[in-house]
Amino acid sequence: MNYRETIKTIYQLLKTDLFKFFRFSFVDDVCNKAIWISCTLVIANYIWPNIGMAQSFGSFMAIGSIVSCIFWDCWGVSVQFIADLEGNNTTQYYLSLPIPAPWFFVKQALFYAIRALIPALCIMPLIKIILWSNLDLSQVHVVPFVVVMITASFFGAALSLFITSRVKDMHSIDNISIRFLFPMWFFGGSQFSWYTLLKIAPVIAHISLINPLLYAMESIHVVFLGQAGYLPFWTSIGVLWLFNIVIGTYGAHSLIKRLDCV
Amino acid sequence: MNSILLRAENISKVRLSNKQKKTVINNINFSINRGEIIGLLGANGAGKTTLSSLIATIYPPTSGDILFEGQSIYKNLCDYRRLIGYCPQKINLDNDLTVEQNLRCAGRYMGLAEAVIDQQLEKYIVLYGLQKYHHAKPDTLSGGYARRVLFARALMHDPQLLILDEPTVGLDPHIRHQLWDVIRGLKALGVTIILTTHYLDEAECLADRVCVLDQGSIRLIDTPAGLKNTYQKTSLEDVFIQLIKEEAQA
Repeated sequence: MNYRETIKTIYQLLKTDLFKFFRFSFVDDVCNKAIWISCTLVIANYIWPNIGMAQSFGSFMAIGSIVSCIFWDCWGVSVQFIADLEGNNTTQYYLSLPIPAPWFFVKQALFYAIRALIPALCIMPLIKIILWSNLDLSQVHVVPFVVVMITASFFGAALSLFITSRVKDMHSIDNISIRFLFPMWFFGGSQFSWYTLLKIAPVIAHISLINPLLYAMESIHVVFLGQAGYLPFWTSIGVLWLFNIVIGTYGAHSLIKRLDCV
Repeated sequence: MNSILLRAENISKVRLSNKQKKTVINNINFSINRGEIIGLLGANGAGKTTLSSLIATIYPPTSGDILFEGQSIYKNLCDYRRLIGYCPQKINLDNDLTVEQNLRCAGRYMGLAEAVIDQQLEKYIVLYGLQKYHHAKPDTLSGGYARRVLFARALMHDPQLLILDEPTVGLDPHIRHQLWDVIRGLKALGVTIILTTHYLDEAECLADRVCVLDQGSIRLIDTPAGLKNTYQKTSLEDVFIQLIKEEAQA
């Protein structure tokens, strides 16, 4: 295989994907996320404290919502992929190009990661504006922040491939969100830290260790709120990369088998 | 004597359908000569599209090999894909991109330089009368024009072998005839063409040889004139009806 030519084709495919994303989806995507995050943060930061919730819960939710944005993005891209397979099937054209099928899915993962990462970064100023003094950015270190954002984005990408491979058709697509993604999100450290869950329900806490979202949530909370009360940062990052590789490879392999491509 | 461009050797394809294995292509052997148009004919479900898809490397065969200029295409799949063009039955152009962008991207995916892409774009836009639709989205085009864009996309890198799967299905007669001219034009340029069709008049007019498939196997392969002679019929349609009768009696 001529790697240089293959990489050139992958680059061109990625360029086209990004062109279409920024042209047709980016603004809507950022607006949608901004509305969702604003509602969540206003409630968590200004309403819930008045009915007895701790003030710090607002910032906890805000930080988790960055990863939530990446997490829920996988749903949208899976729907798009399935819709294409059942409709126009441009995927068949892409799979007939001079690149081996596994490389096509590597490109897909790369694109999914980028398209999840950029809107998530764009809503960060909004989070700061809404929370203002309740979110202290002075203790945030750049390197761990970059590491966690990239890792979480690739987690979203790997999960997208995995979900797409599990969805049979458009009729069964809701089953995955209700039966798989929602439990994953609720028990994935978005509402409470793992140690909090351990104190209240140790069995559920230990079961939730198989939930990769938990590691993404714990590590983003560590970056903004400090290590105390969360799973060790670098352990979480390592475990998350392990999950990324396993579920991404499994998803791509299942898709190659399902689409019966060369 | 024509040289062999592509050769299928003992190609079989087994598919899983409702958890049952179904042989859709059964041990097929045939070769395609350089510069010829070979028509793949057969009733619905005969295996025409599957066979053309196997040659286009959309799907892998379950067993057997396909040789291009004597070399297995699976040894260097990417190089082979740069030598072929594939027009699927279903128009799968990118509706987010304009006609020009679809063609430009196709050239880039095949690794062409921008200057070459510009030349090819100009050539095919003019050749297929797409000047008015440069900036149109494919889903706004009529079936005939969308099909022309699909042809142009498959031809951007000047392939040696073009695989056309039911290129005129669902089109008006005059558009079909326009596309026949396009196909004849490609043959004149030396492009080898595999034409999957269930229109017998189309195969008769365009194909140098026709290959009749039946339940995943090759039933006959000959020139249209040869088939008509063998069966003492005046048209391919009559030959085909005769074959179906024979099949029913068997």
